[in-house]
Amino acid sequence: MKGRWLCLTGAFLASAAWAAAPLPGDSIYQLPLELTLQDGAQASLGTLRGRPVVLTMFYASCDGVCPIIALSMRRMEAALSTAQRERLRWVMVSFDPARDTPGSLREFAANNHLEAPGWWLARADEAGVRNLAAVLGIRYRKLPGGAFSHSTEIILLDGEGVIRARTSNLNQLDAGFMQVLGKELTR
Amino acid sequence: MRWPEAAPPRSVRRARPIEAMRTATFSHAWLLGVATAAVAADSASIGAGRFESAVPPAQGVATVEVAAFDLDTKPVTNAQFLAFVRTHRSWRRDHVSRLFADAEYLSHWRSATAFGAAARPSQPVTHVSWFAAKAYCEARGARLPTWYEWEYVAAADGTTPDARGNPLWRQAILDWYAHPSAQPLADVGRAPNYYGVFDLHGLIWEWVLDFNALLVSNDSREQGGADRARFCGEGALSTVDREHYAVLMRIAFLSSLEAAYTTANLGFRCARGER
Repeated sequence: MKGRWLCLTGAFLASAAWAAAPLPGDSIYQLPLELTLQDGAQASLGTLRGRPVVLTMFYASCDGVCPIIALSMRRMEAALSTAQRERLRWVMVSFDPARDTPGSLREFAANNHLEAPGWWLARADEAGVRNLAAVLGIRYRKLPGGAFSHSTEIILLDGEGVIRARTSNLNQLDAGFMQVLGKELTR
Repeated sequence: MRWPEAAPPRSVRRARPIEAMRTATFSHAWLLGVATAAVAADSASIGAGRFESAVPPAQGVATVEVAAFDLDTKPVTNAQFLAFVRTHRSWRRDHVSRLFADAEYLSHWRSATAFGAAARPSQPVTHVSWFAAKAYCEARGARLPTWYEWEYVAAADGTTPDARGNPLWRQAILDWYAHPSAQPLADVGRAPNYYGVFDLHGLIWEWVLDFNALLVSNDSREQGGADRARFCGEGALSTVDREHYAVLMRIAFLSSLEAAYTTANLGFRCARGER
């Protein structure tokens, strides 16, 4: 029991030291951004630090390309080993602060089979969405009816929040992207 | 990134000062019976209005509504931006993170805290990223104008709110695009337009809040095979009126930017008001 506590304390100290180290200059985790997740929990973007992340932007009422983005990410997930999957987080941030709530995000997750523990579906406020899209180089535009027109990109972040790969190929696994992802997971 | 340097047109049309003062604000203030100076010295109040944008909001929707807002009459200058970085150290060029500004950020200044002899105080500040421009405006309790706000005010010439049908107006803008220049930028405040706003054309490119909303086609959410997503704006461009060509050049430039980019001819001004 005592050994276990020591071990936990050690892990805590190690993670505290990790968090204190400065982020690389091109890390997107420098962006102050508060997310609300599908279970209602609050998390800042920076809490993703420490593990590679596959990230995209979408909105829950999007019935065109967004389910295809989700499908593409699941295809990536399926191509990984269980051990690799456990090291990775999948994050989808909504363009639509006006309409997306934890409830609508949960519904999208259920409809698209994104309910494994590693998946974050998240909303942010309007300024946060704009900033995140800006650091990711994602284009989006709100249409008069409330829908969004947006570029479709799946982005790989390393454990420090630096962009390592991106793909907009939703038809099949992007071999180049998967190769970089594999490399990040063996670090 | 590099973009062709553009020079101001050779001859700048001077607006008659009386015309320049005839802003929408005056009639608005009159209706409200408010006896206040509605136009601050450095900011013009733009009344609500509607216009046909070069970037239609959606297929079959041509008209854009613009709510009332205030717009800086002039672009932010070197002197103003220097005062900002002196009080907001994280935006000095030796402190700023690469995520928020590229390596050319404020590179025309002599040092991180002085612009030196190579730049004049009243020149528009350039070599600023979108993040830096946004931070400057937010520090003033303002924001960047949206594209539609900018386009709406920039449609004016010295005497009319919408000069876009005027071939001379278009030609003056295209001439500016066409002139490569090694000349230093002119000081801000060359000639006011109908709203009393200066330098929207012929001096610099300007950041807008939603620069990354431009050139996304209206049907990209429908597309299934997605590898053309990033370029689908090309379709949007081909459908618009030839008269918008001068403005579309600017849109094409803005849409080529990333938020951390800086260039020698790209500056900004701030706006205020609910969107």
